[in-house]
Amino acid sequence: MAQLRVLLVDDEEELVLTLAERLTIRGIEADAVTDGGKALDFIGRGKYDVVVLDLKMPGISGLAVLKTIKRDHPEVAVLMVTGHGSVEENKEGLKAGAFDYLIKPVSIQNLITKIQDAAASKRRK
Amino acid sequence: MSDLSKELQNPGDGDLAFFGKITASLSHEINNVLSIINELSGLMGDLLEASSRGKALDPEKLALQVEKIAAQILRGERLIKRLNSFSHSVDRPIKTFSLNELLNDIFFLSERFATLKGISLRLSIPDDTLSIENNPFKLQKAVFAILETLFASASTGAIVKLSCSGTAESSEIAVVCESETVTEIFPASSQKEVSDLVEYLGGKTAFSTDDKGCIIKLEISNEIAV
Repeated sequence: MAQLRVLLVDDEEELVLTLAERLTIRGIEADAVTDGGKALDFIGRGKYDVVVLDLKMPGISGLAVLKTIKRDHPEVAVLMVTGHGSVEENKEGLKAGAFDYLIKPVSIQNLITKIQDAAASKRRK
Repeated sequence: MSDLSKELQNPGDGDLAFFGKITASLSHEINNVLSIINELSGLMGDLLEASSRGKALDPEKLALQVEKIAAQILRGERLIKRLNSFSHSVDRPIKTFSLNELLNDIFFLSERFATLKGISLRLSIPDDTLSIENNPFKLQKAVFAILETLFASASTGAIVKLSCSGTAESSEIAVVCESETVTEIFPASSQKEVSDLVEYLGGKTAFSTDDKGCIIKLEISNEIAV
């Protein structure tokens, strides 16, 4: 199976950089960006299987990024990452085409399982 | 207890909503801090696990993770201190407090909301402490209502400046918004909401606009008449 390529998007820089390093250790190629504009730029240039997207970010909101990905890059699966109590936003994200959502703090094993499931679902389509 | 004192003690319309909004925002940030510590400690575990399989352990890299965790703990401490201070602002309906500290708190509590909208929030407070007697919770609510309205209507890249000054008799809080969208930046309905709240605290509000944006001034007596 080809190596999975993942883009992590969260305005907490320390979080995405560390997560990217931990995914890389586990054989997943991961890039990290801290805002929606950069995320769309990276997705336009790279071939990502899965985007792990924080919903609450400055500038372009996570939900707007999700909708743009679904419109322009429907081949990319999106996993949302949210805090507690974001039930409505999670529902809205799923309605907009996100594969699933994770609640922070995320366990690395749970994240990898979801990334693999999201990528597999895309391959099946 | 006087009628006004009793009134100031009772939670009014929107008080709980304001309390909820602030505590939700702070707990969201505390959760981010915990998430980062979770990943940094996880990475340390990964490095130790790799070393048990024969990979050389880089002490500098490990020390860097420890340093980053310490920085996040400091950030968490600051957030909890503000959350604690905000929670205690409802302890008594009227008390003597430092207006400087109150503005510092409201600046800290509102900064994330400004950042999310791409707005720069700035604070300027005098060195001398402005001590006033009033209801700190409702005063924070009034200032936050102004900031929230500005964050909703000002354009991305706008600058919102928060400051205070005072005399022996009264203190003034000024909020200046410089934004490209000057018109309708502070709708009339929101002006009434803020004016009513400040009047309730025994103060008065002035709204004005200029070619750069708008200015909102709250004048409050240093001693509330109860």
